[in-house]
Amino acid sequence: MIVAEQDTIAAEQDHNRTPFYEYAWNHTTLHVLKRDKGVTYLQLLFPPDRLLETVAAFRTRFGGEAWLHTEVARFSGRVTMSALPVIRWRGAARLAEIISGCEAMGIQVANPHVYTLEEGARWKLVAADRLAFKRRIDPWGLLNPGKMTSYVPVSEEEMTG
Amino acid sequence: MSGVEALLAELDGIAVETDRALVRQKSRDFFWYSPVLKRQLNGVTAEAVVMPKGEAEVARVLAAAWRHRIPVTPRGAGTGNYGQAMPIRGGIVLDLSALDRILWAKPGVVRAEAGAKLIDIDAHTRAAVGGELRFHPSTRRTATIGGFIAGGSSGIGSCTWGILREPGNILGLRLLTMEETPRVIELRGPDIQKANHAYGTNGVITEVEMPLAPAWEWIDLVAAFPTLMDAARFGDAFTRQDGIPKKLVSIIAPGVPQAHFKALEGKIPPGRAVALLMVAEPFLDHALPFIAAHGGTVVHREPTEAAEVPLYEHSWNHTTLQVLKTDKTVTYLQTLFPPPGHLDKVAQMEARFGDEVPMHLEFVKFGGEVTCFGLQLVRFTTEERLAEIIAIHEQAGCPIFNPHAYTLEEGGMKKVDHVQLAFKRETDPLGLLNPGKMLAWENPDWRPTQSVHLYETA
Repeated sequence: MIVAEQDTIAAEQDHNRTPFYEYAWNHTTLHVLKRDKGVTYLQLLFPPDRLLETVAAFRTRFGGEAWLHTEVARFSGRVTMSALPVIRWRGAARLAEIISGCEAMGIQVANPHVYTLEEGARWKLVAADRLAFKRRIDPWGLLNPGKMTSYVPVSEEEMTG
Repeated sequence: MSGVEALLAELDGIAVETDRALVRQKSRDFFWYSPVLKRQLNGVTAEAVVMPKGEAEVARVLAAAWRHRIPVTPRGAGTGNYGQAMPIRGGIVLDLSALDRILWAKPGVVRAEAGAKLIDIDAHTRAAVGGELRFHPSTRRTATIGGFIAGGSSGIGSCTWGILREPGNILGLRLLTMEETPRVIELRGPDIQKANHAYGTNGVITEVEMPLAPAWEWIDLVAAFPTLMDAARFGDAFTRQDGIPKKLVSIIAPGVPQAHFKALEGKIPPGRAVALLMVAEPFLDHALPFIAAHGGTVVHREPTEAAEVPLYEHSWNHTTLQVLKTDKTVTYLQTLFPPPGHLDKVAQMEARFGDEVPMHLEFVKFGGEVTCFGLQLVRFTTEERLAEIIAIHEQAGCPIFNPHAYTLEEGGMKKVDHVQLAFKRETDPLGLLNPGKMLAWENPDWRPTQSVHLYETA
């Protein structure tokens, strides 16, 4: 049953309307935050071979504190779902529990509550070739400093020596 | 005066051909790929070919044929492989190639008469709206759009877009019925399946409306790999690269291209398997390292449009044709290797049959899943051995769309398509359209000896 339908471009051009994509992906959380400051979110990726059962398992386990919305996507030619669940904020410790619970269920978590490349990366590391590339193009570490924390700037001695 | 002569006498002003040699030529397709069909169909011919110039003339022909109870077999360019457009009960062939107007094109969509050639539609939509048809068969340079829809199912483009019957790959079909006063019917949405791939047995397609894909500059690439399975694993991985627009991922066993692809003579090292690819030019910076990372070596690179013999004329059903030019002893299969275990099954069948069934794979998206069809060559000995090879594949879980059968049911899903049968009752109550091709028309209880249920249709 189609419950709503609109022309995307017409909605973009009308201040009183909202294109549907502005309810999706990261905008979902934004709309909730407009009315309820007590929530946050996570970024999940469900395993494609156990997609719907894992989605159901997530809802069973965290349904009381997480409102799930999934975003269907193809990764490497396979259909799967990302999710950006809106989560009732119960403190950093509980959030960490949810993250580790998801990972134990086979759901990948890209943690949106960190700002360094290392903490956001799957193995908590920046790839060696990226470190080497930064050494070549930004030896003193002046570009967006503080985001690639494992980078050690080239010293004055190395530079002049 | 025979029935056909009486019919022709009423077609004043419409082009007809009655020369026996020319009529026989227009009564045939590429059925001789199959030694079985060659034996069964070689004597088939119509009594006349009628060549209407527009829908009104088609309607006149159909009404006259209805009055005289003469079978009518619609035909495009006759590039099918299973006798789709062969008049096995005689009567007249209705050659629709003069209905060749492109009616309109807008961004993403084209509408054309059924007899328009694929290559002409592409040229028109490229210039007009920067688009091209999502698919074409390897016979792009001669085939018509109506013939492709009535008799085909997939082809170049299927690695990205799936097969023709998947929702959204055909937007509209306009048909004429075979009745006292032929009616016009426009099928849209799910109703399109009533007449899609029905060999013209339940209505004469006069117009089609098709979605378009972006018209890239396509580059033909041939990559050589140490083994067939190396090439197959690459083909699978490459087809999954949704970010790289591609139109062809064809994998061919060692020995075949070296011996039979004249246009590539001397380019392919001995003993290597090949991948035949069509990749959009701006994406070569990504495609070339991807090929190298999978152990492939690019041995040929040329814009498709500049090629004297484009790579797609070595792919799909043209692979077999290229081999038949120099070796009349081969025929072929059409196999589905069902995902997710498709690569294992390819390896299993390759090990089982070796050089008796040289492997040829076309990677496709099928129901959104990457998998491969096999159009393996078969070194033909006897019909019994061919049937045995088919049975072994089916027992191993690799269904065969039998290219050695000329009926819709036996060549397709091996079951009665009740939707198409019901539609034929509406559109061709006397059973005059391409008679003999829909088994269920004469026997609604037809059952195959061995039923194949594909997950896609479950």
